[in-house]
Amino acid sequence: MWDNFLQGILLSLRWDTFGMMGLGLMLGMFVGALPGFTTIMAMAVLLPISFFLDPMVGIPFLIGVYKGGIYGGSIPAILVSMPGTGAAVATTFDGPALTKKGQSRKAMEMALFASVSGDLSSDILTILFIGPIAILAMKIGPPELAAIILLSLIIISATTTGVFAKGLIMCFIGLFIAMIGQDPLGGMSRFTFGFFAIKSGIPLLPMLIGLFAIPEILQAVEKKVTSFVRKEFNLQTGEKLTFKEYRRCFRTILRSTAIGTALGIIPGVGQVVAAFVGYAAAKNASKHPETFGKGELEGIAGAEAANNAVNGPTLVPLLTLGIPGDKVTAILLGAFIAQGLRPGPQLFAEQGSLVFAILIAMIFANILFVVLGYLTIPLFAKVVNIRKSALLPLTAVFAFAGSYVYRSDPFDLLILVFFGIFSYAAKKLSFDVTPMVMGYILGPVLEYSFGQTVNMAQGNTLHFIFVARPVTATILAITPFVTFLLWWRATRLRRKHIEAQTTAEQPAQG
Amino acid sequence: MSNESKIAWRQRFNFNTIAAIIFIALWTVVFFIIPYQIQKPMLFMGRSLMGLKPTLFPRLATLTLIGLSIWYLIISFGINEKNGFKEVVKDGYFRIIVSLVVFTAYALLFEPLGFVASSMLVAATLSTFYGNRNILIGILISFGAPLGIYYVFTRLLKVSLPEFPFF
Repeated sequence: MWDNFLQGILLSLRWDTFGMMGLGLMLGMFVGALPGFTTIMAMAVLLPISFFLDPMVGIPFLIGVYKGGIYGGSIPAILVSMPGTGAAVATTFDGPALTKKGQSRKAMEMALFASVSGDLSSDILTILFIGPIAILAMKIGPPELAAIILLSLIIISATTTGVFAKGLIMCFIGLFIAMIGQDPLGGMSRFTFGFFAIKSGIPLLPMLIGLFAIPEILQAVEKKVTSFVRKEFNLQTGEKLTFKEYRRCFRTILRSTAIGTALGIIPGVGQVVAAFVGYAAAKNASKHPETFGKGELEGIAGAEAANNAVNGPTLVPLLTLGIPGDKVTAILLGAFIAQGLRPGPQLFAEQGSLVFAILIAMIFANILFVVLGYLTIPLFAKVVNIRKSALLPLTAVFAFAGSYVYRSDPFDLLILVFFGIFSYAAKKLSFDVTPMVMGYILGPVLEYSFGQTVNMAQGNTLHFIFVARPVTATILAITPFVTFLLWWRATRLRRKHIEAQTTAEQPAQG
Repeated sequence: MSNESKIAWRQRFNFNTIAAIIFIALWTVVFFIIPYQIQKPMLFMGRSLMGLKPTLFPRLATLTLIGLSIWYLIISFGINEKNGFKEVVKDGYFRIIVSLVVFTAYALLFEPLGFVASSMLVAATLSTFYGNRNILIGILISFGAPLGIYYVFTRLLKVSLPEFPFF
C-alpha cells in the first residue's frame, strides 16, 4: 500500500495533469456560477473529453470540474440569491444578506477558503482511510458483493427526493435497461426486440448525457430564456476577508468538514444534505445564532466547508467497492469504464498506484483551486449575467458531439434524445433518475455476482448463503430492517413536509 | 356524486395512480415475453451448458418491479405531489416541442450533413429561437462554437466527427 502511495505521488506530478485540472476547475466554476446550470450537467457534457486523455489526465480533469462546480454554485447564491447548484442552497441563507451590506467580496472569499479547507481536509482523510477499507474490500467474494450492492441500491433509492416506492421502481427500471443487450454470464442476447443497434446494450454515455444535460435545457426553455440578471457588484473594490475573520470561523469549518466527510462516505447522501447539516450545526453551536440568516460569515463557512468535504469521501465506495454513491460518482464511474478501468477491489489490487495518484491529484487540485478561485472571483461574478440564449445551444451542440464520439454511431444520438425526454418527463412527475442510473451501472455487477453465487452454491443456494457465508447472511438479514427504517423515515419526512405546506397555505387562505 | 366527493376522488386518483397502473401493465407484459426475448443457451447431451437459467435474473427483476408497482398503486391514493406538466405554460410547451423537434432533426442530420454544418444550423436556429438578437453573439455561437468544438475533438483529442458534406 505504501509503495502504491509513493508511486502515486510520482504519477500525479505531471504538467498535463495540472493543466487539465486547472481547466476543469475553471470550467466547473464557470458552469457553477451560471444560475440554472448544474455541475452534473457540466460533468456529463464534458465527460467525453476525458475518454480520449490518459486516465491520469482525464479523470483529474473531471474531478476539477466537480470541485470547481460545487464552489462555483456559491457565487450566484451569494450575489443574486440564486444557487448555481443544489449544494449552494444553504449558502443563500447568509450570502445575499452580506451582498446587501456591500460585503459580497468577503462572502465569496469565505466561501472559497471554507470550500478549499473542507475539501483538502476530507481528501487527506480519504487517502488515510481508503487503504484499510480497500484491504477489507479485497476479501469480499461474489455473495457478499451481491448483498452489498442490493443494500446500496435500496439506500440510494431511499435517499433520493420524493416517495421511496418511486425511487425503488426507478432503480429497477435502471436494472432492466442494463439487461438489454447481452447477459453478463453467458453472453445470451436479450430484450433487443430485433434492433441490431442495441445488440450490445444501451450505451452508458449517451444515456448519462441525455438524462442529465437535455432536461436542464428543456427546463430552462420552459420560461423565456432571454431574461437574465444584470447587476454590478463592485468586487474589485469590495471589502476583503481578513485572517481574523477566517480564524473566527475555523471551528465551524472543522466541524463542517467532519460532517461532510462522514456523510460523504454514505451512498446517496451528497452535498445538499451535508450543506444543510453543516449550516444547522454551525447555527446550533454559535453563541449568537440570531445573526444567522442576516449575513453571518460562519453560516457561509458552515455550509460551504460541509458541501465540499463530501467530494473526497464520496469516492471511497466507488473506488473500493465499485459502488457510485451519487450522480457525480456515477459519471466518474463512466469515465473509469470508458478508460478500461473497473473501480472495485480489483482496481485497488491491480492499479493501486493509479488510484492513489488520482487521490493525490485531488490534493493538488485544491491548491490550484484556491489560487485560481481567488484570482477569478471578479471574472466569475460577471458570469452570473451571461445570456442563456447563447449558452443553451452551445450545451446542446457539445452534448451531441460528446455522445457521438463515444462509438461513432448516429443511433446513439437518438438514444440521447430519448433519455433526455424520459428524464424531463420523470422530473415533471417527481421521479428521480439517480436510482435509475445506479441500477443501470450496478445491475450487471449484481447479476454477475448473483450468478456466481448460485453457481458456487451448487444447487443449495440458501444453505450456502446462510451457513457458509455469514457476512452475506448478516447483510441480507439486516436489509429488510434497513428498508423498513428508510421507508418509515421517508414517509415521516413527507408527512412533515405536507403538514408544513398546509400550515403555510392556511394563513394565506384566511 | 356531490361536487366535494368528486374533487376528493380526483385528488386521490392522481397521476401517480395512472403511472402505477401503466407500470403494472407494462411489467406484466414484459414478464410474459421474457422467454421469447432471451436467447436460449446451447444444449449438450440435452442439458444446458449454462449453470444458471438465463431467464432467472430477468424474471426476478421483473417480478420485483410488478410487486413495487402494486405497492406504488396502493400508496398512490395518499401521495400529495404536484404534476409538473400542469405548471408549464402554453408558450413553454411550444418552446419545448420546437427544441425537441430540432434535437431529433439534429440527430438525423448529424451524419448526412456533417458535424459542422448541422451544428451551425442547430446553433443558429436555437439561439435565435431562444431570443438572441445580438448578431455578433449569433455569429460566434453559430460559426465559432461548432468550428471550435470540431477542432478540439478532431485535432486535439484525435477522435472523429462526421466530416463536412460533399468532401
